[in-house]
Amino acid sequence: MNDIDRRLRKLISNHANIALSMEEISIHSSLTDDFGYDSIKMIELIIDTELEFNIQIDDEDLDFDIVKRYEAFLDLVLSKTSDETIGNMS
Amino acid sequence: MNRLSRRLQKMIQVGYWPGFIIGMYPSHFAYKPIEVDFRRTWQHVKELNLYAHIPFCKWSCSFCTFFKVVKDDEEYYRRYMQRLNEEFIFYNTFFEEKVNIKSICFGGGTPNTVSVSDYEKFFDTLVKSNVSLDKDLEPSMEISPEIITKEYISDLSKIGIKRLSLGVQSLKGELRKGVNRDETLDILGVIQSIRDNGLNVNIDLINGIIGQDNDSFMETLKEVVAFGPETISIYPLSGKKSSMFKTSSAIMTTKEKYQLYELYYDYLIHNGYDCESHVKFIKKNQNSTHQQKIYEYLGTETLGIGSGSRSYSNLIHYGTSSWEDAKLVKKAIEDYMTKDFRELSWYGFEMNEEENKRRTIVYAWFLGVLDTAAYYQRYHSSPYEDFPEEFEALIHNDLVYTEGDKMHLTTKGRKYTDLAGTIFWSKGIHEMFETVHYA
Repeated sequence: MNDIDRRLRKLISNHANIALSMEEISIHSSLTDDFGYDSIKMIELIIDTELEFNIQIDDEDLDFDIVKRYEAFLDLVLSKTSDETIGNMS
Repeated sequence: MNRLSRRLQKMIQVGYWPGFIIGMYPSHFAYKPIEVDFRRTWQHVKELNLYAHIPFCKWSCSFCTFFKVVKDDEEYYRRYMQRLNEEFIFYNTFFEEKVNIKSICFGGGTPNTVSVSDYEKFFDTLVKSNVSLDKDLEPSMEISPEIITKEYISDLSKIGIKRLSLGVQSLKGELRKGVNRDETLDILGVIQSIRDNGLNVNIDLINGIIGQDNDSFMETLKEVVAFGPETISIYPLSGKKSSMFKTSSAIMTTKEKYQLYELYYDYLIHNGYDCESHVKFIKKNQNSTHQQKIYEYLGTETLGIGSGSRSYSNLIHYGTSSWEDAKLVKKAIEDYMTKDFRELSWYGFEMNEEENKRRTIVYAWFLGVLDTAAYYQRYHSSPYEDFPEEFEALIHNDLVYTEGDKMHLTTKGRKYTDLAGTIFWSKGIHEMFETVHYA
C-alpha cells in the first residue's frame, strides 16, 4: 500500500456510512454497494480528496466505475497527482 | 471559501441534483407520528389555501410516487367525497373568524375519476361554512387527459372550476407507453374542449423519462407551446434512476437534465413565456397560474383535506401518509372512510421560528426573489445575519444578486434552484435526508 493509497483509504473510511477500517477496503470494493456511499457522500469525498492531494477532479472524471471499484478511484487520484507533479516540473 | 460554498460549487460542477423534494419544506421524509391540536392550529387563521386530495387512479404510472390507489368503484368515490365534506365541516368548527379562501386545488391521484356532482356538493359545503371565497379565486383541478370527456369539462366550468392542469408528461407515443400512459392521447381535442368552456390550462411535462433525449423532449415542448397553455410545468424525473453517473445510455444523468434545462429555458423565454420558477413557465401578459403554490411561497397557510393530503400551518405540517409505510395507502384510506378524524394516524413535523425562517427562504427561491424587508418585518432579524454561510455560498457561486431590499436568483440561480434551497435546510433535515436519499 503506497502513501496515496493509504491516505485515500483513510478518507473513504472517514466518509463511509458504516464503521469501516482501511484494511476492509480492497481494490474490488464498491463504494456504493459495499460502503453505503450515495451522491452526497461522494461529493464530500471528492472535495476532501481534492484538498488532501491538491488536485482537481472534474465532472469528466466522474465515470460510474469509480464508485463501483475502489481501484478505479485510486487510479484516478494517482493519475491526477502524477499530472500535478508533471505540471509543477514544467 | 467556506466549506458550504465549496460543496455548492462541487455540486454545480458535477451536476448533482437532490430531486424535486425541494417542492416543500420540510419534505415528507421528515414526517414522524405526531399529535395534532386542531383547535390551536386553526382557530386564529384568517386566510387559507384549500387543497383536497383525491387518491384514486384507474391505473398506475411508472414514475408516480404520489399517494394513490388503483380503484374503479364509483360508489366508493361517492362515499369518499361525502367524507371529504364531513372533514371540511370538522375543520370549520375551529375557525373563530370568517376565513378567506385564497385558492382551491383538487389534486391526486386522478381527481377526474370523481363525478362533477360530488364536486358541486363540496362547493355547496364551502358556501354554507364560515368562509369567504377570494375575489381572485381560480379553483383548479389536476386531470388525467386520457379519461376526460367534453361533457365533464363543460360541467366543471359550470360549477366554478376555472383552471385545469393536464398530466401530459410527453407527446411521444413510445415514451408514454414506457410510463404506462395511453400512446394515442388526443391532447388537442382535450385542450379545444377546455378552451370552448373558457378555462385556463396548465400542461405538466417530465424530462428524463427512460429513452428520452434532448430532441424528443424539445419536440414535445414545441408542440405544447403551440397549444398556448397559460402555464407549462416541467419536472425532471427523480428517483433511484436519477444519478450524476451515466448508468445507461437511455437514462439522462442529472447533469444532462441541467443541460436540457438551459435548452428549454432559452426556448420558452424567446417564445412567449416568463420563468415563474425553475419548474414553471407562465405565458406572458396573463395572470393564470398555480395560485396555491404562489400563496404558499408568500406565507399563506394551507389546509389539506382528504386521505393523503398535507396541511401546512405555521405551527405544524401534517398529513395521514407515512413516509416509511408507503405501502399502507389502502389502510390509510379505509381509516379515513370510517374513523373519527381525530383518531386517524397523523404524521408530521412541528414548526418553530428557525424552521419557518428557513422555509421562507427556500420558498423565496421558487419565486426567484427574497424580500429581505418583508423577512425582517416578519421575523425581526436579517436573513443575512441569520444564515451568513449560506448566503456567502450563494454569492460566491453567482446564484444571486441584490437590488435594494430584494435578493434575486440569477439565471444560473434559477437553474440550480433546488441546490440553492437545500443549502438552507436545517441540520436535522439534512440528516433525515441522508437516510432516504437515493445513490
